[in-house]
Amino acid sequence: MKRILAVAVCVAGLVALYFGVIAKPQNEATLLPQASQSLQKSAQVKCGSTTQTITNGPAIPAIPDFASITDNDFSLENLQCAFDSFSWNSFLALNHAPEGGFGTSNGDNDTVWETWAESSDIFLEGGADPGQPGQTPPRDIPDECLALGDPKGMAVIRQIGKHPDLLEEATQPFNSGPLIDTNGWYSRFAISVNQPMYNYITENQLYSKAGQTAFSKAGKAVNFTCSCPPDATGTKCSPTGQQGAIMVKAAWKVIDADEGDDASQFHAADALVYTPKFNDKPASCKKQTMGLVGFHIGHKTINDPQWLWSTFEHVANVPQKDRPQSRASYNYFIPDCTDCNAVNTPPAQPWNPHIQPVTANAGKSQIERSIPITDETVAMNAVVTSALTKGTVWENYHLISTQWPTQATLGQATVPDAQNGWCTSLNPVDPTGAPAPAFLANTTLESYIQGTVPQASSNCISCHKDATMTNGTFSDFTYLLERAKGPAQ
Amino acid sequence: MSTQMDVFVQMSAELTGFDASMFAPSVDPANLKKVYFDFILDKEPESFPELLNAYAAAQAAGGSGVLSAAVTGATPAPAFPPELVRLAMSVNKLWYLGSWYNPQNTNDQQVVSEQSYIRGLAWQVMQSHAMGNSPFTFGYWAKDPAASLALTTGNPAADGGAG
Repeated sequence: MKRILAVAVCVAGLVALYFGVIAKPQNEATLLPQASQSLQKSAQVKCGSTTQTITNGPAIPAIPDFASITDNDFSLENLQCAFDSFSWNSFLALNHAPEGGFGTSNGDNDTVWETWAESSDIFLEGGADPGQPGQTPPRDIPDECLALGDPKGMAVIRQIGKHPDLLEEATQPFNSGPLIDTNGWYSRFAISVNQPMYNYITENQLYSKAGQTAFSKAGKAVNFTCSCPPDATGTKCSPTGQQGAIMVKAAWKVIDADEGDDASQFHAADALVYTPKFNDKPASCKKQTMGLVGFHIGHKTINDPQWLWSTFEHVANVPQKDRPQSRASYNYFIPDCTDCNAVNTPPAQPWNPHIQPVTANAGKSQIERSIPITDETVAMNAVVTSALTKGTVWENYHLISTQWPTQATLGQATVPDAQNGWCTSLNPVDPTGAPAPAFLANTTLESYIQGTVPQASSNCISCHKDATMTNGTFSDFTYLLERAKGPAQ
Repeated sequence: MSTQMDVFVQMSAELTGFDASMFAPSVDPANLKKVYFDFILDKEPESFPELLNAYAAAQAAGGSGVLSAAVTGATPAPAFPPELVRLAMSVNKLWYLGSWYNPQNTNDQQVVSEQSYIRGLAWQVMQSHAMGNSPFTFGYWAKDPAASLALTTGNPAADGGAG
C-alpha cells in the first residue's frame, strides 16, 4: 500500500510540477509561522470511550481504524469516533503537498488533491477521450481564460452551483441557488477524482455517453474499486493493498482584501475563475484569489460500498443556529442584519454571476448551521488544531462530521474478491446501509437543504444512491458520470 | 436480567414476526425502539408497564407465543386481559404502520414521526417503500427484490420469496 501511495504521490507531484496546477497567491500580507518540515506528527484524542490516533502525515488511510473499540465499547458513538478520526487522517493527508510538505509556504501549501483530474478535464465536449488510464489529463482551460495569458500555475474554477446541471454552460437555470458570500461574490465549486477513480472511468470509457451505453449493453454495472489494507493471504485484498476511488468536492470563496478578507487565513490559490455564457452575457474569465471554504471527501472502502463521506469547513463560515455568535463576521452570515435574505434560503433573484459583487444584502446568502457539530467532534477538532495544524492555514478548518453506513452489507458480509474490486456488496434490504448520522450538511455545499426531513434534507448516502450515468443506470454513488457528453451511440 | 427495553424488543418481535435484531441492531442510528418505548409510555403510563410485566412473566413461565396467540384471538390468555391485548395490538400497528392507534378508540390515530412513517414494517413486508423514500438504488424496479425472509430476519442468505 505504501508503495502504491508513494508512486501515486510521486506521479501526482511530477504532474503538478509539469502542469503547474496551483499557484500560491501573490498578495499574502500576513505571514504565518513557518510550519515544521517534519511530516509525521500524531495526536491522541479521547473520544467516547476510545482513544483515537490522528496523524498529520501524507498517507491516505485505506479504512478506519477500529483497534481501540472493544466488544464492550461497540456503540454508535464510539464507531463515530473512529470514522471521524479516519476523516481527519484523510483530510490531513490529502492536504499535504504532493512532495510531502504541510504548511511550509507561509503556513499554506499546494495539495495532493489539487493535482487530481477535475470533472471538466474528464468529461469533454463531444465525449472526447481525456487520456489514458494511469495518466492525469491536461487541464481543460476555456478560451476566455487562455486569453488572459499564460495559464501555467493557475487553477481553473468554473462551477457556480453544486448541482451538476449548473456546469452546463447556461443550458440549465440556477435551480439550486448560488452561494453568495457576505461581500457579494459568488462561491465556486470544483470536483476532483483520484487516479484509481480516473483510471476506472477511462478504462471503461465512461467519460462519454457512447461509452456508457456500450458499458451497459455489455451487461456491466458501475463498481469503482475500493480501498483495502494489505492482506498477505490475498483473500481480502491484494498483498500490497489498494487505494480505491476517492472524490473531493471543494468550495471556494473570493478573497476580497478590500472588504477585509485575509488570504493568510485560508488555503488560498490564485485561480482563473470562469463564468459560462448566461442569457445575453458571453462567457468570461477573471483572475482572482480564492480561499477554500468547504471540502467533501467521498471514499469507497472495502467494508463501506456506500462510500464514506467526510465533510470539512472553514471555521468562519457560519454561526450555529440558536447559539451565541462567536465571531464578529462570517463568510456567509451577516450578524444583526435587518435587510438580509431569510436564513438558509436562496438569495433573492435575479442570479447572474456576470454581475458581481452583489451589493444588496438581500441578494447575498445568509446561512446558519442547522445541525450542531457534536461535542465529541468539537473536542476532536480542538485537539487537531492545537496539536497538528497550529501555525498553518489548516488550523482554520474543522470537521463537521462523517457519514457512514451502519449496516453496510447486512448480516454476513459478502466475501470480497478481486473480481469485485475487493469490495463487499451493498445491503440488499437497505442499500443505503442505514447511514449515521442520518443527516449531514456542509453549509457551503448543501446550504439550502440542511435539516432533518427525510428525502428533503441533506443526507450524503441517500442522495448519492440515486446517482446514475447518462443512460439512467446506477453509477455507484457518484453524480460525476452524468456529466458525460457526446452522442449516446 | 432483562430491562424493560429488552422485554419491549422481545415482545415486539413476537407480535410482528420480525427478528428481534431488526428492532435492536447493535448499531442503531434511528433508535426507533426508544422513540416508541417513550411514546407509548407517555400515552399509556400505567397499562404499558403492566403489559411488559405480563409479557415478561409469561416468557419466564415458558409461555412463548402466548401474547401473539391472544392478539390473533387464537387462544385467550388470562394473563392478558382485553385492555392489554388491545394495547398489544396498538404496539403491533405502531411497528407496522408507524402510527399510534389509541387502544381505547382506534379511530384516534397519530403518526409518531417522519422516521416512524418511512420505517413502518408494512413497507418491508410489501417489498416496497414509503412514497418518495426508497432506500434502493436508481432502477431497482427492474431487478429482482431481496428474498422476503431477508427482509424480516436481517439475514441476506435467508431463503424465501423472490431471490
